[in-house]
Amino acid sequence: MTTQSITPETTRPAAKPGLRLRWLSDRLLAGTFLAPTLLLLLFITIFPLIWSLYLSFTSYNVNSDPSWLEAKWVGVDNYVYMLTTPRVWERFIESATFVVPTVTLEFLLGFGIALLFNREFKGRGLITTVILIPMMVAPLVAGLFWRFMFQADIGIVNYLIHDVLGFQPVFWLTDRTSAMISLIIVDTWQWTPFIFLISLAGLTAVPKYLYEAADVDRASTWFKFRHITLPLVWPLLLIGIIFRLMDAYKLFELAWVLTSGGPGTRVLPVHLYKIAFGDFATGRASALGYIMLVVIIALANLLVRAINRSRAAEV
Amino acid sequence: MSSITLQNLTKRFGATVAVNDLSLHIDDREFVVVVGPTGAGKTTTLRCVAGLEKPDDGMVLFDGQDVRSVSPAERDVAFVFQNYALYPRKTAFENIAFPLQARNLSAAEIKAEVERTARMLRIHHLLDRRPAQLSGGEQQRVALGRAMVRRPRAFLMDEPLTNLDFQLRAQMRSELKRIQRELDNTFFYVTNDQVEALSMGDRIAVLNAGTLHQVGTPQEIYEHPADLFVAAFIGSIRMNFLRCAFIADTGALVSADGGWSLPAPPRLREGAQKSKDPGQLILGVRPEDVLLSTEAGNGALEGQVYVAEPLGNHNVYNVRIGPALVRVKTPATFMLDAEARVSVQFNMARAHLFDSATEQALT
Repeated sequence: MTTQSITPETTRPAAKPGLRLRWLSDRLLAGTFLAPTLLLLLFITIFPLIWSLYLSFTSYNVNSDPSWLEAKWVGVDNYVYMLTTPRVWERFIESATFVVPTVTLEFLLGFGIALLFNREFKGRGLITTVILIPMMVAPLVAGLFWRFMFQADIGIVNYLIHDVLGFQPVFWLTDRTSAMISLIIVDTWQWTPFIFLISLAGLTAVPKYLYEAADVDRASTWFKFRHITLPLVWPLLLIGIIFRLMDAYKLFELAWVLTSGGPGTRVLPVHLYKIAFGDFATGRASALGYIMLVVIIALANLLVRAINRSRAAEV
Repeated sequence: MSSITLQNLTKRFGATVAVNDLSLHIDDREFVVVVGPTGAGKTTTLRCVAGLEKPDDGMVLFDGQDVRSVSPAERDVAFVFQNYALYPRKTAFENIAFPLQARNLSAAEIKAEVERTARMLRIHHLLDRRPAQLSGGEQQRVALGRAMVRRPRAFLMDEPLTNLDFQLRAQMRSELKRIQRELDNTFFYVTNDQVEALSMGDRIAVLNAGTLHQVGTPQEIYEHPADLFVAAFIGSIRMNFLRCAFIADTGALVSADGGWSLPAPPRLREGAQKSKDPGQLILGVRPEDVLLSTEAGNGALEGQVYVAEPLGNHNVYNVRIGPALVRVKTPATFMLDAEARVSVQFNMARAHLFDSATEQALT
């Protein structure tokens, strides 16, 4: 073996002079094109984030303080106040009573329907599309429609319950408990298709031969579900759950449209809105915003870890 | 352990006939290899036996009993998939234990059985790994282990060695043969590799385009191919086919272009007379039945080396005889240059004659 054969090519054709500017490197060019977007992003996302962090340590009130420059620095007072006020904790619990049942329901229904759809049948594509429609409706519009339907006097829901079935009418949006139930129903109606879609994608990706192998190995249907379907679909389902959890946690428009944050449905984002734009306590509102952010980051982190764990199990 | 019988099995996928009227009997404890090129319907046949595919026509019988209405699980066969179909999130142990868990054995029993199987396959040190941490050969053994761990009525294997590299494949061939002896069970084995078929099968069934061409022992298949397809498909170096005509008056075979004439021994003469058209025959000679020499010999044909392929333990020469190219296998010590002039002799005692219209063997 001689070393001659691996001598690298040393000559390259010289670049044509032409229009090429010597000082304009590829990196600089790329940077130039990216700059406007980056600046805009910085201005509308990063800057408010940092500014509100600053404001959360002040007693700034957007209504009465002439300028934010004069806002009084109060240290962690806003945070202490938020974390020690019982009312805030009630809001957290109210949010939880919304988020936990909603995401659970959406998961069970979405995954359940996907399991039913995980086979060939006539009209499968069409029905799948129909099922996805609620997801495509703007939440605000969906909320308005449901508000009409939930109307105690003239809504179609009470018409069915009272006039058709003969039960007592339900005060859907005004009673504490039923208001929360209405909220859960509407959100579940709108977002179950999302879990359904993700589940269906996961189920379709499970190779058919694994089921065939299990068939030959005399595995029961439950055994196949437990040992093949679930472990393979689980990571994807977790991603769906994260999405829904974060989304439900910051739910605002639906609660606002349905009850205007009335009794029983004053979830955290609604509460935050009322502090920020009802009391104009900007400093405190910013502090609550940051508390919420920390909670959701922690939650998401736990779930992402769970995903990574189940991914690692494959390797 | 049971015998398997296929009766007039037919399977269509839309307009394509995957398996066409196939009948085949496999004795209890027999190792039968179905061999054929890609798309011959081998896998479909096997899947029909396993119950993973429903035949359109015909029957599958286990020990003489029709199993058409029996589910794959109740057929109690083991299936080894070409891609192994290991459960990705389970360790090798859990994979092998899977068929046992589905049957409610105690944990201690399962452990004993899995370890017995793993030792037989020499993978007991890999049991806590997951499929992704195993090499192809190791995965293949785990798949085998999953099949072997319970004592099924028969083993169905769908090209289990195809995804392995050459050396491992050679090693696993003899290993599988040993395992079959040890398990003393029926093996129904599908492959596209004629070497696997010849080396492992008690009997071989040659399949092409859904049709069964020949069934027989490896020796029968190799020595007496029933038709042109079998003759061409079986054998590491393809058999030489030369168009020729039989001249009844002289008892000689004359090449289609008239370039050579060879006296036919009685066996070939009888065969040629069976043909409806003795003027259109094909002479088949295996590359190892052709003798090359640098000296002109009596009754030898004139040839010229076209391509030489030294293969280490033997050489293969492509020799031009008139317009035809003939492959010749020689010992490694027999060295010739390209373009060399040689004399070529066919071992007519081992030659075959085929009818060119029906493609059937005449000898």
